[in-house]
Amino acid sequence: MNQTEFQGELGRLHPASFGWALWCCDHRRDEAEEVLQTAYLKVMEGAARFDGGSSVQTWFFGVIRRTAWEQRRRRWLREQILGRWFTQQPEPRPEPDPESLASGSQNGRALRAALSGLPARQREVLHLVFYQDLTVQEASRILDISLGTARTHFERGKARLRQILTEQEGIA
Amino acid sequence: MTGNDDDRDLRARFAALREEEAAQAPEFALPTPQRRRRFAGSLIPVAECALAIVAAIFVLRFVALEPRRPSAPVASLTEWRAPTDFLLDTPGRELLRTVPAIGEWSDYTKAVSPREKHAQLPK
Repeated sequence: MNQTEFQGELGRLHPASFGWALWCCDHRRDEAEEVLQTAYLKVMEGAARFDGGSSVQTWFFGVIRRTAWEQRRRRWLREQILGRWFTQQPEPRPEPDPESLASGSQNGRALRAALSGLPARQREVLHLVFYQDLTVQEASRILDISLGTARTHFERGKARLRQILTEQEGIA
Repeated sequence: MTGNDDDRDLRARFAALREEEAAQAPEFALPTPQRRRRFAGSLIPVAECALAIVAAIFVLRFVALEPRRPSAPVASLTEWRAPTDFLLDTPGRELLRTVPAIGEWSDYTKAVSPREKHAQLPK
């Protein structure tokens, strides 16, 4: 795959990549954009190299996930070191973007709310399988966990999500 | 409702959400040198950390660890004498330390009393 084809593939994946970045950043739009741009920058500068061992999507989603994690870690360090030393108070963590949470259909909002009640790992597996139409195996590669663990998270996540959605519908 | 129906339902819900979120995605653009300047902002935390470290070193060096005041020299334990030592010199102590011999009575009569002995000590 030459450079032009590779960039074309990244462009084709862009909406899905943004969706994944959005979920990796708890629906904070600004953070998601920053993470995605940093991931692209890593690719352009060669800090992240595609070795052809998996699909471009699987590989690039892994890059996005790592980048989001690094950004969270940097923020945490900044809060711990600077927030505690200089203000004696941790820097308040930005809340999920209310605009993006409130936007969209009622079903979309309900699904986002239901997913926010799941553990992060279950949420990630469900997102990758249902939202990104990947297999559980591909999801396990992106999340860097074993296939068995990914399957367990997938089944438990599904059961819990159904339960929450049923409860929501019962209340409504 | 079977598991497959549920899966279909979940897939449909996620697909709807995907379409909503895809519509909000920013335009695709790979970072160019001009865009990269935006990431110079990520150097700010590094600078802040460096500043905090320098401040911590300054505080430790000049405030927290003040040089200790030199204390008075301490006398060795073997050389030290209690100021009330002379009180233990009871009168006639010399008589108890020696065995008397005939013809040496004068020595005993010449024995210095503790008070006199203390008076002779260098001041």
